[in-house]
Amino acid sequence: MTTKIGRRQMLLAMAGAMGTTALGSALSRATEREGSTADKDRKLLFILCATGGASIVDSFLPVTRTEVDDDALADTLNVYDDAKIITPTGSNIRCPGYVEPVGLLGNLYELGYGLDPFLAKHHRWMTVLTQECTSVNHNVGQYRSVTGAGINRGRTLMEAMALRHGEDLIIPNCNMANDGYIQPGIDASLPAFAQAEIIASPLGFAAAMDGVKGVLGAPDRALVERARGVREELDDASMFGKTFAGSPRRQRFLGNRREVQPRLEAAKMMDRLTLLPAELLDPKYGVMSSPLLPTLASKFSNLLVDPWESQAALSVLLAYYGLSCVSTIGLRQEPTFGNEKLITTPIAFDFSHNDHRMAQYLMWGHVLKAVDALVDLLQQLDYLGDPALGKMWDRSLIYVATDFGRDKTRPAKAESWGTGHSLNNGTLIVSPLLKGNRVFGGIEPTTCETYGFDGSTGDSTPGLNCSEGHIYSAIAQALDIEFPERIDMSALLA
Amino acid sequence: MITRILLHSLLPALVLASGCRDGGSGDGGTTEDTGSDEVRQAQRGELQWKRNAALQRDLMRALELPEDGVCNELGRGSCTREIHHIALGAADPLRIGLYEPLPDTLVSTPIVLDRVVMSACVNRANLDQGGAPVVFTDLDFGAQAPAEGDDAFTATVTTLYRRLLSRDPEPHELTTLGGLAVDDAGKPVSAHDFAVLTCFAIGTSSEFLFF
Amino acid sequence: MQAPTVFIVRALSRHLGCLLAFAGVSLATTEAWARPTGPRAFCETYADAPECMGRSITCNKCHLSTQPVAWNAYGGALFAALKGAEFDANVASALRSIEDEDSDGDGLSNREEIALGTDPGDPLSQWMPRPTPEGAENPSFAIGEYDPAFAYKRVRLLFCGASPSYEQTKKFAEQGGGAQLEAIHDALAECLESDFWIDEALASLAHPKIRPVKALGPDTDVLISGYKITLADYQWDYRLWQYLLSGDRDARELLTAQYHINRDDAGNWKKVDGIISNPPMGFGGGQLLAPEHRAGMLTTQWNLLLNIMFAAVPRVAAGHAYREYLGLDLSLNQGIKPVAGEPLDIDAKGVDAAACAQCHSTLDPLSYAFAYYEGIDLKHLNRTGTYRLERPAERIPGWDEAQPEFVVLDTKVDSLVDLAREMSQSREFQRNLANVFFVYAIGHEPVPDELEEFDAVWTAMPADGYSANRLLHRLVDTDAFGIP
Repeated sequence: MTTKIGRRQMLLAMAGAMGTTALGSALSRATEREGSTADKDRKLLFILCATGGASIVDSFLPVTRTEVDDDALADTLNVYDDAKIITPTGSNIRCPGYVEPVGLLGNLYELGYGLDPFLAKHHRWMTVLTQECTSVNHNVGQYRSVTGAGINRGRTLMEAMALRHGEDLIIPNCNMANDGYIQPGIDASLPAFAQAEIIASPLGFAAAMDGVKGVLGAPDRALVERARGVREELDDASMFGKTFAGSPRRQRFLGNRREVQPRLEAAKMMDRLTLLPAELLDPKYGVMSSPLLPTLASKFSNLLVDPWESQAALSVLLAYYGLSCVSTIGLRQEPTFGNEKLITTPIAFDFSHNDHRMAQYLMWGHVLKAVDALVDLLQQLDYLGDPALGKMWDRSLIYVATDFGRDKTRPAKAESWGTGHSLNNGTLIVSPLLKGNRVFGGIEPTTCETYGFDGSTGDSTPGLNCSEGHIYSAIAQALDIEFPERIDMSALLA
Repeated sequence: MITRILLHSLLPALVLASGCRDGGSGDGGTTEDTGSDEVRQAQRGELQWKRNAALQRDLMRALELPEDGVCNELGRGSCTREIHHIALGAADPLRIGLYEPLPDTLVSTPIVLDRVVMSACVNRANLDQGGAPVVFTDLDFGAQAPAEGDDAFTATVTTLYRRLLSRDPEPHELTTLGGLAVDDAGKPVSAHDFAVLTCFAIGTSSEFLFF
Repeated sequence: MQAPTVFIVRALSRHLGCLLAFAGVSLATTEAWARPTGPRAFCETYADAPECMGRSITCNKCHLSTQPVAWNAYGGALFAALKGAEFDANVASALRSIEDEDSDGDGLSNREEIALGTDPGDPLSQWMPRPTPEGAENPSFAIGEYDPAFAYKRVRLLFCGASPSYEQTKKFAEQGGGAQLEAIHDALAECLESDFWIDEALASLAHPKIRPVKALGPDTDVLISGYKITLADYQWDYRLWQYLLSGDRDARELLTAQYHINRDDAGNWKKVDGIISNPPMGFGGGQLLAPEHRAGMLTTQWNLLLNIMFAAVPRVAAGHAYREYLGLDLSLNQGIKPVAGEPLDIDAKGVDAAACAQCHSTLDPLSYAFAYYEGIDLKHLNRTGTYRLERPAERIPGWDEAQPEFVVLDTKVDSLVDLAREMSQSREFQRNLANVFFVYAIGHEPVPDELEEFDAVWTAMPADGYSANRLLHRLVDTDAFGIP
């Protein structure tokens, strides 16, 4: 039988079984062992799904009125006043500054994080790639943004990542996003371990790491282990077990129960992944908050009410504790409330239908706030808590995936308007693994349509359009994922 | 019809090539449950799994528990409906746009099943201990677990098999479950622990989950 | 094993740059095209092939890729057999001429693979027959044959939501074979009336069709000046689905009903005719569409809101209907039935680009029929889910001049109501509905050795009055359901 048990998991299991792991010492324990070769070489991927259509024209590839060079035309395009565009010192990328809430629904929102502070802080890690996707259907567009429109045998980026870097991890591919972003790929040959673990409740997921802990009234763990042993005997000896010994569905279940569950429990992952603070954990359950919670909470101050933040926080823990190598998080369709007003729009970026500029600004800010927090945390934390493995950031790539772009036009002189879906767009990647502070491709000011580039030379050429497959290939190449159809994107590599 | 012709024509070669059956040792075996592995295995083996709603209902039925008496995760919500519903095979259209349930179990499914069944078994045992017993009617909760072979032991195990698996236990199953009447040191456990552990072992068996 | 032959148009190197939109390329010696009429031609030639029964093949039957154009071994053989002749007129004979070949070298001829439902151009596309059961008699399960006890438990769990009790199981076992089969159907009949089936399981099967969004529906938490931002109420959709797929009703009305369904205080179904106003303090939530323009699930306020939104040409709504009610997903190249002269690119979205045209030549003629229905008009929120004859001309310059035809499944229709009726009468509709229940009951899509009985189940729908209940009664009798 093929297993996905690495040396690290064996060590973790042994440590737990021998009772050498004290609760609350998770951070130090992770440093007590040497990283395996796979640990040393492993890359980490974080996919942040900007549900609804995040427009690159409203973030890091804006056009100014002056560039259009035709006032009447500029009045009908999604362009910004020159004074609104900010280029921080040292940055080759620019973005819109503060956008005043206007329009019918302007007073509903509570503006939070701005684009320009993000750009000023992170421009050297930022790579902007132009692209033209192939569907303006949300579900299809989402799916193609993570499958490269099927370029790699129908495997999602997450599945490809798990295959490449996750064979010895317990749950290499964790997906907390939504809709088309959580659909599996279509490669029937994909090993089970690379398939996504879908997580709908990041705050509750820790409990799925232990079959007994926190269950009130459960017998002593030694007795439970005894019961489990009896159960295994019964399962194998029962007529049902014998009759369906070859059932793939049952085999998969038993494989996880017999091989994976003991490791997760031995590694005490429930206490490590618990995002609830002590005040929300009744002591009667005997469950503790993650030792990293204070660190996470300093960056994700809203994680208890904002699913986007709780997903991002969990993604850090999953990577830090060596459970996964790719986490996918997604903006929910439900809006999130701040103090009194909304801090995200209903239906996320797709609220651009109603109020394009406001929705884009608010939602880009919300996305980038999480990216900022992720970068800070990944730069702060040693991978697996082991200084010898370096900072998590050094091996990380953050891909802001989105469904598609938005229309580039507006009613003449409108300050508040709605936009439809557009194939034409661009993508933001934040990573030390790519050439940062760089835009690949360009934008035509008189249409606000982006054009593409040659991945092997980096040269931008009007008339070229890069597809989902190019974005997929660029990320794959940066993460050492090889496949025959991969498009050469060498020019993007750091 | 051509399908069937093709299947038959291919059969000998593909059976040899597939190698997916454990196969028997070839000594024939018997029609009784001898504990050997030689009994005929399912030809299709394409089991369904008892997903969240059916799991919840089956535990309610078997253990006569109210809906909120099966499992509440750390006091924050229903295990089967709100917290672990995806791992237990539910869709979630409103929260994450998962419009169809996942076809197969996840890594966390067995763990979550343990939690749900353990919680339900504890709740039933507590109710029976604190009031008129419904399931564990043959146990004296103020005493130790009955020894294997005792009437109370056999009656309790039989009740759980009938309630959870809708069948009687086989003799070898009674023997195996005898191991739950004592701890690792061979000391009898409490009747409460015995009730919970036996219920848990049967209720988390693959026979309970798959059909 | 013979390696698959791959034909790739080398003129298009991915490495040279980015996407070049095209569907055909002139080569020095011949002309290489992806042919959107290919799937139709294939299924006309092999009408009895499993993949043509109520569905159609995709481009993958011949192509590794349609962009750039690349063929698999079977497609390459067909390309060669055509010898440069005009495609549509000669494809049938070309297909016949390569039937006895084994293009992918997997040991089965192309014709055998077509009959089996595997891909003649992919050596890895194989069907492994199930092994003959070996070993001692199994005392608990009937191996290799329909096992009534196994099926009985499945019926109870899948349709009643709980296992049979010990007493029920015992009573069942005590009956004879014929009585057991009867008991299975009795149990099923009982379960199909249960709350579990109607309110839980059946409702869950509607999720992909309805795709509820809390933020826009009746349960939203967002208020504006005391108004909920509810734009439509998807519970109408769920009720219509549940009603029509229970109680032996005619499932075709999923696409033809011109009424809606509510529940009375006792929970009984209640038909509601006529226009239903939006509830007070909400932007939507009623059914404002005049009954004569209704087409069941396709024209509920929610469906029109969600899938039309702001679109002038409602392609998403059309694609959704095609996928969810006929089982044909155009994004996966399923159900391509190009209409001559299409796409017109009537709204100047560039869908006539060759890369887009192969699907839009099918999709756009479906979409036009939806153009009279309003999704969201921010200036007139009370128009959501209404029919306005003037809408297409208002939203699409040149609509009147273009006079586009509405076409579905190769049939010209006059309106969305007609289009939906045509869909509801189709084999694709029957097969798709049966497939939804098959996957629910069996746990996977029908595989080659299940197709014969599956096809028998869904083709009986007309004789069964299009009753989902009767379909399910046939389904639980299949080997796929009852053989362990």
